[in-house]
Amino acid sequence: MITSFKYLLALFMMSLKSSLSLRGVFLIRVIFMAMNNLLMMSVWIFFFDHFDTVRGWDINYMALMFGLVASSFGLWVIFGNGLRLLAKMIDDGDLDTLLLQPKPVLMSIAGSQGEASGFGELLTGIILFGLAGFLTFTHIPWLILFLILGGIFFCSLSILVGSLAFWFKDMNEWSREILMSSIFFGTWPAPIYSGAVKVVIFTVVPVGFLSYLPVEFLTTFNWSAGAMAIAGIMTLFLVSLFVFHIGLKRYESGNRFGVRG
Amino acid sequence: MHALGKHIAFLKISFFETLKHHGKLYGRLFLYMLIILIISQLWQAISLERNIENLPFTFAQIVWYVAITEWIVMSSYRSYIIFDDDIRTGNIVCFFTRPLSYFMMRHMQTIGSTLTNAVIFIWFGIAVSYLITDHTPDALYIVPFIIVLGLLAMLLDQIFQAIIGLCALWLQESQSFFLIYQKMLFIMGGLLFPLDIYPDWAKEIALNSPFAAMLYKPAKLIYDPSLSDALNILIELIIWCGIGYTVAFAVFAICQRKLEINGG
Repeated sequence: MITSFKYLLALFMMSLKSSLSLRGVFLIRVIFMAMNNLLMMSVWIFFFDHFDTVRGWDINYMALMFGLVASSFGLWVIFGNGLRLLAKMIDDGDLDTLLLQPKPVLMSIAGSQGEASGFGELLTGIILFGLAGFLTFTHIPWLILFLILGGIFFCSLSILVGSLAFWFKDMNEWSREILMSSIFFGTWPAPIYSGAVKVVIFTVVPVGFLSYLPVEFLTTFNWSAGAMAIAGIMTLFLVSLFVFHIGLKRYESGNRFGVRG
Repeated sequence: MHALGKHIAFLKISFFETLKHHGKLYGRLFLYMLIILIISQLWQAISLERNIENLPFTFAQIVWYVAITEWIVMSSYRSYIIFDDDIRTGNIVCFFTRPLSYFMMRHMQTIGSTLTNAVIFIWFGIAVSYLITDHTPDALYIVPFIIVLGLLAMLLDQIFQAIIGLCALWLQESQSFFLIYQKMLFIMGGLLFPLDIYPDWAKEIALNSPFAAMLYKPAKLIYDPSLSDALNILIELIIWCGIGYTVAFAVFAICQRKLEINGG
């Protein structure tokens, strides 16, 4: 377990060095990603300036939710960005070289494409937590926990959707759409969801565990909401690993020669 | 004329090729439906909580508004990726030897894919919006004008994306720029909420940008129909397309010169 984490850390350091080799691009990415999130937040500032609250949610709730989703996504972009290519790798038969290595396959894929722009997302999250008034001693430990769980959520979702490529062709776009839609759906005032859409946000695009339940816990310290969020994300993680390993048995080699550093 | 025929051929091929990628289409249609559903739930929640009579639209009209703005955005092909990829892999140089413009070839391909999406998404959007609202738009005569303006807005989006993609030559990547562009489109274009709910100063800035001409102004016709407004928006979009093409060709000319000297 410790060896695996050391390996992931080594992959991360390698990606970071590669990102830093082009300092200008690194800075542009970080700044632009932070700007990108803050710009999106401004729409909600205009909205709540007009309507004050929606079913009890105000701009601070939105900032907290936005911060959680952005920073979790940032964590995933830094440590697990390679997983977004999982479906393509399966389609192209590119897992061969990784399967031959004595290292966990998913970890190798995850760490292979770490992106510097993730720091921009992380930065946005911290700014938004501060603006919403949640950077307090009571909240910080919980914020860190849900941030890590959020990172695991994005990893699990990308593994799960990417693994569908073992059964279906042309899943790359689908996998990207589901990931992007999870960010989109995760950043709407949760109490508006009802009926079939509520079912969707806890199943097909399970962002309820990523943003809705953690925000409820962080704002009201409703322990059952917190426990459900943790249980939901860990279940998603285990299911994604299970689906990947079942799918791996169906994997067909690309039969291509190549060298991997 | 001969060159135009070649470019149209790329558009046609791309149009039919996009039709074959069912996976992509279903994924985007699913997302499109969910977006309309979620936004309709938000406005339903608002209209149940407070009086929205001071707003210039009804619940049904806002659902149609979002269906139109999302139709324009969701149909648009992510063409910046194609240009970005060609530049970063160096593939672009291989196309320079062909007897046709690389820029126009790729541009026509992405327009072809956008058109396929536009044709499919519009029917889907109409069906979903009708099912949610149980209403057709109040002024049906304005709908064909909205469609024409929407298609022109998609063309403008393709031009902007091409410019963003070509910038990869200098910046090594264009995704960050695309995301900023996309957010400007969301905010200044009024993708999710009409500009009418913005503060006056923000609305004023947004109205003078090309983004409002791409989304808000065409979609607004659904709750504020006017033929003269439609004509004005048409002229505005044509002017923005002209400016966009001028910039795009200039950027491509610099890009081509740089690549011919330094290689891909």
